[in-house]
Amino acid sequence: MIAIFKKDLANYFKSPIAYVTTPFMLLICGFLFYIRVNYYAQASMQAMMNPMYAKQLSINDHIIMPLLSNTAFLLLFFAPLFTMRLFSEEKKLGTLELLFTYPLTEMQLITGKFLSCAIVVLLGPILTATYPLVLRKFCPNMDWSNVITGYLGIILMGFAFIALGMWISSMTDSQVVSAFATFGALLMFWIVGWAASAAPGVLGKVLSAISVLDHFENFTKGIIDTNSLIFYICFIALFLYLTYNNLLARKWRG
Amino acid sequence: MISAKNLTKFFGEKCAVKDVSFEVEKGEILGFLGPNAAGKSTTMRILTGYFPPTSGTATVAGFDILENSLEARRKVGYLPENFPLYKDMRVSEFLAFVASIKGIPRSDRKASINSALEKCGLTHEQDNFIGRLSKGYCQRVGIAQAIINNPDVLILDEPTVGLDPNQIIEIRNLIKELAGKSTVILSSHILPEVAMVCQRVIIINKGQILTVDTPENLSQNLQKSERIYLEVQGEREKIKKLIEDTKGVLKVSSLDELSESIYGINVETELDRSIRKEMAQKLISAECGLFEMHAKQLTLEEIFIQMVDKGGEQN
Repeated sequence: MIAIFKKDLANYFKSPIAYVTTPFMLLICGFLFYIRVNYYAQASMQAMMNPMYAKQLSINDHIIMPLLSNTAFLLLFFAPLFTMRLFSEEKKLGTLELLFTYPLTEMQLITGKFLSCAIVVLLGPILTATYPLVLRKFCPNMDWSNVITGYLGIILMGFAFIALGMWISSMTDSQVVSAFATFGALLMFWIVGWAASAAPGVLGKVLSAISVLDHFENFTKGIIDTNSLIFYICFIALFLYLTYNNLLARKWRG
Repeated sequence: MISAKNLTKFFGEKCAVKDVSFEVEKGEILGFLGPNAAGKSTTMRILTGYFPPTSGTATVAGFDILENSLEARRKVGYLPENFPLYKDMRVSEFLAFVASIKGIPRSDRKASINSALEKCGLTHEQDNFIGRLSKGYCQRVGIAQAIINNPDVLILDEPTVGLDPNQIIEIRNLIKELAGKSTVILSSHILPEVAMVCQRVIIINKGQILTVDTPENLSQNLQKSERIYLEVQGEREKIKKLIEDTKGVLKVSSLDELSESIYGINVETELDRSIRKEMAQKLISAECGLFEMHAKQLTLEEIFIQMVDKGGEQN
């Protein structure tokens, strides 16, 4: 398992993709963060004249929550770029046959790949956590619980994206197909949350319950909702299990 | 060391391997011979645990490939056909990865890697990227990864395919060297290669074993007639008549003029009859020049075609 983890991790850093996406993620998040901070600073000026307005001003609502949702949204775009190669590449090269004949269980293979991918995918988002740290210098009494639960949410969401991407990657030997299918599927799980608010009654509730976005928003509010926590854990477990099944499929298919 | 019992594998409706059973002793080199799509690779993949058989089972180094798959896989070194490569890994890096995945203790890894590099003649290429190596060297990397943990069983699927003649000889010698310590199964559709390396040959066609024997026995047992090749100087018709009149000659299968009035002649004769002495006397007393005369053995190629044809007729 450790061997697979190390090999895949080294492989990620050999290709330029990690060096391209992570800085872009930091740059885009940083830019949006700067705009938000700037806006907040102006609003604070106004608030000095208007005490009523000042009550509505919150660092969390204006800076932290947008930062977290921007990061999460970028994760939606970047995660498929990393998950696409997990199994597709090995299938295309034929090295999967080699791996299956080594003394290695399917679960070890999946775990090794999942963890190596998690590190590169989450590298960018975790580094964006330095932005709120910068902010601390100017606002010593800000509330950190949102930041902490928010990043917990990001990690869980990243894991969920990787699990889904890994499953899709185990079905095709084309990295391009894998990336687009993963992106499409993730986007579906994202936008059902928007549809949920428009859909009536039970349908709306169901849509909201399967939306990765709605569950994530709970975390940005500084709440660890067991519902959301269980949703992510089930989501990850389901797709890891489906990947496992796909790997076993070679045993009863040609 | 290896024992396969009634292995059968279906891919959907198509039967790739049908009721294949065989045993391999410790230290033996066994060759799988068959045309393309005969079921060689499928049998090998079953033995390496890549996929299980539809029915039947096998044990490798005492471990059942279904029940103790992991232990069995630990005992096997496998070189797949068209060895797949991690192109952007260095040779030594790839071998380190394989060593660690095969569970070689950390302290022994360096030594196992170096010994595998040395055996396969890769020492001076160890820092090169696999993607930049020539086909022959890639094949050696494949063999190096198979032997890195000194496995009891080596399964090599078409180890010399796509190599130039020099590389073929090198790889063949390497396999012979390994045979003392490990049991080797190799597959090929090239017959002389199998005959040269293997102690026993399994001929397989359409998923079924046609025969199991040593290369020598194969060529002896299958002969229905003996063959003699002669080079004789003289008149064409006279020579032909002389030969045909010799007792025991079945037919003159070919008679070609090699140079002026010298003929190369292939003769088929009855089995177990030495008629060479008689024939030589006859030719010489008729004042023909006898330049050359020797008995010919069936080549494995011919046996192979015969076997495969016979198998076809039975079906």
